[in-house]
Amino acid sequence: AETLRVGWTTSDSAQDPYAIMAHNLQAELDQRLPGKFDVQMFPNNQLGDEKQMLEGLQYGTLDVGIITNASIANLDPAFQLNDMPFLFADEEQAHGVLDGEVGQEILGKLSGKGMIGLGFAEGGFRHMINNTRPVVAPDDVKGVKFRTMQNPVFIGMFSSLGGNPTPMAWSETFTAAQQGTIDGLEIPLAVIVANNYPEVTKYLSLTKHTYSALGIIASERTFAKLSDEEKAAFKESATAAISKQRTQVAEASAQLVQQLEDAGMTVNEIENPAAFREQVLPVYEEFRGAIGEELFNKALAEVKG
Amino acid sequence: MINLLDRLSNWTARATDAVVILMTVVMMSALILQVFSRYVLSASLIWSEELALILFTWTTLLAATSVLRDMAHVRLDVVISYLPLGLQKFWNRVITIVIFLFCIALAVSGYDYTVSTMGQVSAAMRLPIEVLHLAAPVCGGLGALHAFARIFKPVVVTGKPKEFIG
Amino acid sequence: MSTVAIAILATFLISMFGGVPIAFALGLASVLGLYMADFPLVILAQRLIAGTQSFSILAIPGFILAGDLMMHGGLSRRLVKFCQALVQHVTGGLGMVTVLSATFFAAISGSAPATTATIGGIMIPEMEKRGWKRDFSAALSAASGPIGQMIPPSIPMIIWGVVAEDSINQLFLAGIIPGLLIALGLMLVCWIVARRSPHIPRESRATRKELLDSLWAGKWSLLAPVLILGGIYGSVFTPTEASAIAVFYALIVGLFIHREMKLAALPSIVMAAMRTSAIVCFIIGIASAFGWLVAIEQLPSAIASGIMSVSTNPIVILLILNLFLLFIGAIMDNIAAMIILGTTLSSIGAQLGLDPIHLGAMVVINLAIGMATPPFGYSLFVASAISGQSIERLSVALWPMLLVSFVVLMLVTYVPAITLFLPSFIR
Ligand code: NA
Ligand code: NA
Repeated sequence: AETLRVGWTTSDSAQDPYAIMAHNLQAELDQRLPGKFDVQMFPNNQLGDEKQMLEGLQYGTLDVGIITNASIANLDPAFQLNDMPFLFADEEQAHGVLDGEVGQEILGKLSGKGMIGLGFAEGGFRHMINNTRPVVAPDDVKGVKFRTMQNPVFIGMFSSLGGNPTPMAWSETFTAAQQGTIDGLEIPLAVIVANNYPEVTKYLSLTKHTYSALGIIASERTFAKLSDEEKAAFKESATAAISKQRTQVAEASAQLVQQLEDAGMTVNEIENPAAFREQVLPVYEEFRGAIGEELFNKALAEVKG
Repeated sequence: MINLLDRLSNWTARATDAVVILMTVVMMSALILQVFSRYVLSASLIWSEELALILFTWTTLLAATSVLRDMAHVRLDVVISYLPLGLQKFWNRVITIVIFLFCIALAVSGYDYTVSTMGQVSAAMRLPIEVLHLAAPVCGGLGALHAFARIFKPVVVTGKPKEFIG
Repeated sequence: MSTVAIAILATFLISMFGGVPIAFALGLASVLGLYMADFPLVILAQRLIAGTQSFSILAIPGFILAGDLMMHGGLSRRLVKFCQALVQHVTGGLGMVTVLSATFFAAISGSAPATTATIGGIMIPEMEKRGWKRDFSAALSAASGPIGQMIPPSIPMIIWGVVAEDSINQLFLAGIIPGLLIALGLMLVCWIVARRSPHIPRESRATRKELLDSLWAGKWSLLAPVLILGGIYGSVFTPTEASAIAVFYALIVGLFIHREMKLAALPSIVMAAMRTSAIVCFIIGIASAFGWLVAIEQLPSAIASGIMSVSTNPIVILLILNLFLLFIGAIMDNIAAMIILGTTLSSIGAQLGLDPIHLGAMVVINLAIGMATPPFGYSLFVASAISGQSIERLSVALWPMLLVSFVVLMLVTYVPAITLFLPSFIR
């Protein structure tokens, strides 16, 4: 059997969306191409961070990567579309756009770079947690110090909401929240649980501000070694694995909210997503050009229609 | 000819040192500015951490080449110190050739890396990633120059204490 | 174990013991490994860059530079003066001054050899003047060096934090009590030696005024650790930012308050520190290529299960681990050791159910002690260089001090509370 290296950044736990995807892919591949691959898992940044994994896909040292959308956007700005704040109202809408024409066009940008985009798995919506007050309306973000990734889209989003974005390394964030250097942060549910954030933060506001898409990317070098039927089977496996993964992550996320409530967090939903989107329109304008006018409009039309 | 090569290597190393000193000043200033801005201006800088990290890679790789010029990278010489002096000299030259070959490999590897990652941008400042990745081929190239010069004109061993680390 | 894995390990070990500089021995093994496993050479440059793109490791040049600036700016000399006024009158007092100054200096410096060089440079001549044997003073300076790596800030703790993905803030705290225990043990050695040596005179007690004067003169030196550690644990800044703040502080004090440092001397001080830092960080960078190959060949899990198959008794495994690490620490460089063994040690620790911070502290303390154990250790080399005593003579004088270190190491290994008590406050 041929070695197939699958890499991602988070842990190899049963609740982790990346890990679920990796194991689903393995199962689907075993079913469609039995005995073809010896799948080796490299969780926890074992083969490098996402930048290096993307490069590894190019060089053929990694066969499949499960990569956070924001990291892929450093390679091609079209991917920034997926990270636009308050773009998708719910999961179904996101799946529709990402599985459709828009998603295909974005993934297609990878083909000139030695990679094949197989689809987008579910990372879950990102939400805000903080110690100042529940975020119900856009004004609640004002003056609150949120840790963000070192990423202009996220920094821009908090700036336009009047918040105080604080880019900070992930490894420093927990202590910073504990000791009050920051008031809060924005992350998916699974990450809140995995890192014990209920211990140091009070309010969980289900803002759904950014849909976290996980790019499932294969190396072109790996694909070059496959026959046409094998390629098709591989792609089908990825699609099937993604669809199962979405269901599993959705089930898990309902449980996670309950779990966080039990752990003592005060949970709330936001009142009016449209009001938030109104506020962050400057971010849309800022990135529209880099993403591509046509692509952007197509996506906007789909989420409104 | 050998003297010329040696002088070129020496001059390059001292010029490298000057660049390293300048970069260090900027790197430390960026870190201090970050703290200052966070507490005094109560606004976080987006670029400071990334700038400091890019300069860290550059200062490390550049200073490593001028350390190479002086053959001062740490090594275990307990075993070879038992060899007769003539054989030690010969063996040290073999090691220098090995280092030279490695630096060539690093230069080639760094060139490939820089070329294959063109188009990528840095996460915060959105700078072309070559600003960072070029450090590898430059380090390989400078290292190769110094090692090549040292093949013909080895370091005169003195009784002075070596540089120490950790 | 795959052929590739065996080949890269063998290449590394043979070339390292053959005298190839450690960074290049790692590089050579990596190039060979890439070639044998049919991976593109470009991985070498990619991993070298990635290895130095770590915000935590960026603390290393800052802490090295800060330590150097504090030496040139007269901060360390004032520290010694204060310690002298504090304990010189006790039996073995002058020896204790060496240890105590090293302990204070450790709270500024992250490095063992720098601690030995700074304190030994001042104290070895001083002790000789007052009747102490030169080889004993030099050995004492060497043995006090590792305290510099245990009490925060600490360069090896930073590296371990990156390698094992543990909290550097917690690791820093874990080293404090073991560092103090070693300091106490070494002072006890001074006391015993002084009692048995009639030619070591008793010093007179410093007057109240002398004590207060030295405290006042040394206030900026004593404030430095308060600023650095207070800033980190008051979460004002990260360890990396703290290193830059320490540089800034040492500059201000040296240039404008003590006025012992000339502006013109700065470039050469900066360059010397950056060279030291580059030697460390270049090894880290190249080792990350080596480490990538080792991971992709799935070597760490193979070694870990090999060790676990010897015994499943945690007490036995821990003893084996300690002996192994002491051996590694005795014969080689601790940075390369941590990066190469990091994943393996972490996975053994996880299988034993060890607290990762306990494990990290244990590894760092082991390798710190290695800094002073013959035949290979930078503290040892520095002490030998500044005292003119051979490594062989130092080794003889060192044994009671090494005994102290081993006892503390055993305590650290089998009494987790020694390392975990302080970190428990910030969990
Ligand atoms: Na220290
Ligand atoms: Na040693």
